[in-house]
Amino acid sequence: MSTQRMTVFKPHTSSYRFLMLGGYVVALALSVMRVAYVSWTPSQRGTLQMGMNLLWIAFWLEETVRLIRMNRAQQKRFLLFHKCEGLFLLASIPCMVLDFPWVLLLKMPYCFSLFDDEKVFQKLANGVVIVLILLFVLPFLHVIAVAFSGPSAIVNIWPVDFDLFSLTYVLGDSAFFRAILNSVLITAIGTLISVFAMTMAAYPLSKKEMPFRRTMMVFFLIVMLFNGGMAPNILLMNSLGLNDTLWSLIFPSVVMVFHLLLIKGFFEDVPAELEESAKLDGAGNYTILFRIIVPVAAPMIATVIFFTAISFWNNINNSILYITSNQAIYPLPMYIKNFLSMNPVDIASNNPTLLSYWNNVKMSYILISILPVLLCYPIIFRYLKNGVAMGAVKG
Amino acid sequence: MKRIVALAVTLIMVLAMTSAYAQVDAFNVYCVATGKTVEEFNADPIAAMIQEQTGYMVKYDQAPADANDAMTAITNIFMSRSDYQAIVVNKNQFYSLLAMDALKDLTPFIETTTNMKEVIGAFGFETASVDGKIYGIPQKDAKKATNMGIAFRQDWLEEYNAANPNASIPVPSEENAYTMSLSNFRTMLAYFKEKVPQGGSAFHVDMNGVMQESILPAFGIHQEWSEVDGKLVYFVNHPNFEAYLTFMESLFDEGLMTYQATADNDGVVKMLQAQLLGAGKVFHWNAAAIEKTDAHELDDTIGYIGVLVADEDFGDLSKVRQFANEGYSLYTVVPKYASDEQTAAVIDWADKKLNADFFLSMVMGKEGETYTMEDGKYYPILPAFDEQKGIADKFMNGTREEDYANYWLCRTRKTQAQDKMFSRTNFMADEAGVKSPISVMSPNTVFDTYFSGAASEVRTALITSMFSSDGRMALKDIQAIWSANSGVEIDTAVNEWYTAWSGKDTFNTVK
Amino acid sequence: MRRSFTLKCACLAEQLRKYGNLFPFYVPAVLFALVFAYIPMLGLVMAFKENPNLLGAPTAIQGILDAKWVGLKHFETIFRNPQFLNAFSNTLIISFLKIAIIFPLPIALAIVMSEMRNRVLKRGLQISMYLPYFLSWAIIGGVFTAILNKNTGMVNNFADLLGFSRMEYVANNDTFRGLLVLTQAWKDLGWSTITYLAAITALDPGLEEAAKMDGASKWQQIRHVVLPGILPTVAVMFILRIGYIMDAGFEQVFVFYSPFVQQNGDILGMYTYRLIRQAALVPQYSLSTAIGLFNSAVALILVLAGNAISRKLFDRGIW
Repeated sequence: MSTQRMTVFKPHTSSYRFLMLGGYVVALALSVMRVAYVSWTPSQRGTLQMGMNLLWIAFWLEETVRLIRMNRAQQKRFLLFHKCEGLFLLASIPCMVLDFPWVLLLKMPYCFSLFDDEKVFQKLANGVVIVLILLFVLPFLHVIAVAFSGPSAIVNIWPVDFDLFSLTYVLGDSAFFRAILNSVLITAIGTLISVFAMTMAAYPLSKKEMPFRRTMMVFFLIVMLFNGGMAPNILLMNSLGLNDTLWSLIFPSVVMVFHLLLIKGFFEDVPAELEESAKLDGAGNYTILFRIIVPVAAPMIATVIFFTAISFWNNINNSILYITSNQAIYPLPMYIKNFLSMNPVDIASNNPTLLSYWNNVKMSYILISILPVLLCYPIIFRYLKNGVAMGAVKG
Repeated sequence: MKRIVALAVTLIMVLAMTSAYAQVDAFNVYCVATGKTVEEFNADPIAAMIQEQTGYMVKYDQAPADANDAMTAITNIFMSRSDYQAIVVNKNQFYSLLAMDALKDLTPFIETTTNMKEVIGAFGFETASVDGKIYGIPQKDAKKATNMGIAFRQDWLEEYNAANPNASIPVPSEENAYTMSLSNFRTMLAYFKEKVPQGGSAFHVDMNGVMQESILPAFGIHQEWSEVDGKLVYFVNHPNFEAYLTFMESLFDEGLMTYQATADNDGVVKMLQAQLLGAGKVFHWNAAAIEKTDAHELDDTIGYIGVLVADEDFGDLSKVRQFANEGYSLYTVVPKYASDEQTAAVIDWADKKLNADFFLSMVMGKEGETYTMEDGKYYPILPAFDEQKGIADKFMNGTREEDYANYWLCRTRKTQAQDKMFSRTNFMADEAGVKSPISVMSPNTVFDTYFSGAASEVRTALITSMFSSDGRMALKDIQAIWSANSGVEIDTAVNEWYTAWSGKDTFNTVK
Repeated sequence: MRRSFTLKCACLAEQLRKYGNLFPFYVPAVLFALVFAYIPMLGLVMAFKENPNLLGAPTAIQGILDAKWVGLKHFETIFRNPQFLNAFSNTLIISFLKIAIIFPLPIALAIVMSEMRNRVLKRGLQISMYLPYFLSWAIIGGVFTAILNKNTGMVNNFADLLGFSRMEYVANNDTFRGLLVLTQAWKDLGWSTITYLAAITALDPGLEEAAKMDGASKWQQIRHVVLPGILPTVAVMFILRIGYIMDAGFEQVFVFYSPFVQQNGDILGMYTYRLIRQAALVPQYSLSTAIGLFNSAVALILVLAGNAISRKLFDRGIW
């Protein structure tokens, strides 16, 4: 007898599922359009409101009819699994009176439950990812478009008044390329020193029985949180004689405690057997660290190299504080900042056309400064993907 | 014995004949940002010219372009005792360094100069001295002029006039000295509002737009600090300020004026060109960008208003008043740790540059090669003028004040567009320009400490009040902000100086 | 007690013997830290002294030594100013908003990406997602100000097309916090997702398969298998993030700041900047050092607190 009763609950047909989903999407779209009321005529608004109310009533009726056709037990089970449906039924009457369409969101779980879990997930994921890709890429498209446009044009995504003046100007600026070289040098040397120092320091910190471990942790924590301020740093750099040199742009930023902690956390999870078997073989500490542990920790080290490099590349604080006369060693971001802060009067007296192309030139600089990064991108990316997939930060 | 005495006497005579200071041949100078690289700066032909004339080997370095970074760099120099013998600073930096007692007293050295004492006015040295001791070589802004005006679409105005022959608005032109009356301005803006497409606006104002230099004079406020009953008042405290505030607020409420949060005139220029904007405040160096030309043809679609006047004063040229700038904005200082010999060398070097003929050739070049003269006016020959004399002003430490006023005008004639705007907005600058006495005030501790903070607080309040309909504040609340930020002390200190100032009545030709 | 003490000593001696040869490993990092971080920290005494005349004194250090001690006077000046309270509360609010909204996003995104099947989209997102991290705030600020411009910006042009009215986003007090959160998310999403993605790929895939076979829905799989697995990573990142609460992103706010947004957008960094740069004749070294010291002290307390909480909840701390 119960099996007969159960079959009242027919499996949904494909058309029913898509009708529900379709109706839901339309209703959502109408709700969003309602916000754009501003420039709509009253008659348009009236039709919109009417359409929405019709859809609302349709959903409500459909659900009520469906529930009525079930028996008590089935109703209970249904409402247990689909709490939102019950909420929708109850809430929609007062919401319709008070004109609050967003209660429709409550229908969402049910609509999605009509479809296969995995497929729904994949479709949603794809949708979200497409939106995100657009969100990330559009600003860059804008930059490219403005770099190629003529002056005074209002640009969205596509160049207006196609004009190569700003790009030719930037490419002809030799000081700009010197700044790129400076940046590359600073980043390379700085990353090397920093990652080396942090990796080495992370090793003893990761050993739980290491004496004075707590003290050293506090030592580094204070470095991370406390800063002496602008004046003491300048005085120090000056007394070391490093003012206006490339080293003043590297040394202050070498100790990056955040990365130290990341590496240390990773070292702690490396299985102890590896080390012990190496010790039995008679390996010294340096061999253990660099020949055995570091390769195992390669994904995290690679990530840290990545972060350190970015940090050095974008750093302008050091340039502002320590460079007064030697502007030839300005790294790229500082060079761009310096260029863009120029007094318009000076620009006008040196090169009047430049002033009218100012916005385009700004974007051209940005564009070309991203290029070195983009060129390294495939290398970084390939390494990251492979390295990271090899079981990185363990839980 | 006699021979020894003779030798000693000769020695003493020789010593007495040479200058009191040992000779210093070379020194380093730290200048303001030039817009070129340091190598180009040092390789500029003007540098070679100066070396030939003065005999000193000078190495030039420049500050970063951003004002805050430049301040950090100069602080760095003084803190680290860097090897510079002369540093060019702006007014704020100068007063700051003065207060920290970091500069060398230049009075004894300036006494011995030939050109400097004559061509730099007493006003100038006053602004650079404390207790009669001069601490910097003041450099005067070239000429009493106004830098900005309101650019508007003249073609639309003429359309309006064609459509309304009975109520036509007189187009700003020579006969009315490029002015417009307030109500005509408002009507014009209303018309622009209709013409402008969606997303545009009739009149556009940026972050610095609370003090509209072209509109304030119409209400009787002629400068940032102007004289009322023998005392100087800040424009916010001026009795006529309320009328100005009401006018601007009404423009905003009627949708005739829009506001942009960023302070670059880029927005205004772009919008004017794209016909998204009816009118906006611009500087004369923007003119070339607006008119979309590479200098050689004029664009009659754009017109310029020098200043607005009150309705009843329109047409009466004697009633026109304008904001004019003329003051000292750059100072060449010598750090206290430089030796006397080096200081003497620096002053001597600056002095030699002020020689009449040399100054002309340094700033203007050769007639026929880089400039031409017509009716006593100088015209540049491009591109030679830009190539050879482009950064001439960066090599100056003090100017021949009277001559330079004329030389500098040459720069505003570089493009026809710039010349057009500059000459129109400055049509009556000589007669109608009112200068702010504060620009030649001597160092004043109270003012220098508190003014920029108070001014920025007041302007912030004005921005939030004027440009949002729900953030409106009553005038007395805004004035209360001035008082709350040591405004009263500033007023007292300023007037203490002003009432005792000798130049009080002669400084401005009109009031 | 004496016995445990001698036991401890014995242990210490033994440990030193065992691990003593590891101490040289500290040397490079400690050297740099001592020279470039601890020596300048001596300048923190300026917070307790009268503003030193660094530029005019015979030498700068002499200037610091000559200034007289004033104790907590500068701290009083900071706290008394009414704008300070506003700035402080804004800093906390904005930081919490950023943590609440931006912290979960990379986790969710990493989970979604690890389960995705469409390779083209996945690769596309990976490439475009990491790009913003390379840019500095000056650049991002310029780009977004141009895009969000009320009259000429891309976003408003698009909204106009759809019939919405144009809105000011940057100089608007109400939208400012949203703007900060959005741009921070745009910049940081990529690199945070790498870390979590790595943690997820390190999980045992067998567990998820087992859950699937037991009939768990996608959402349940995620909730009961994946999330607990990456919890420890989340914990560490969270603690470190808390330590930066007092920062709230000075560079970012500086780029977008205008007087309009002072009510909602003024953070401690901006307040300090105004206090020092605009309101005084001479540079206020003591005041700025005092504020910096205050910031650091609060950050220290927060990190320690966060660590203790993490210990209790996740059984894992920073040390």
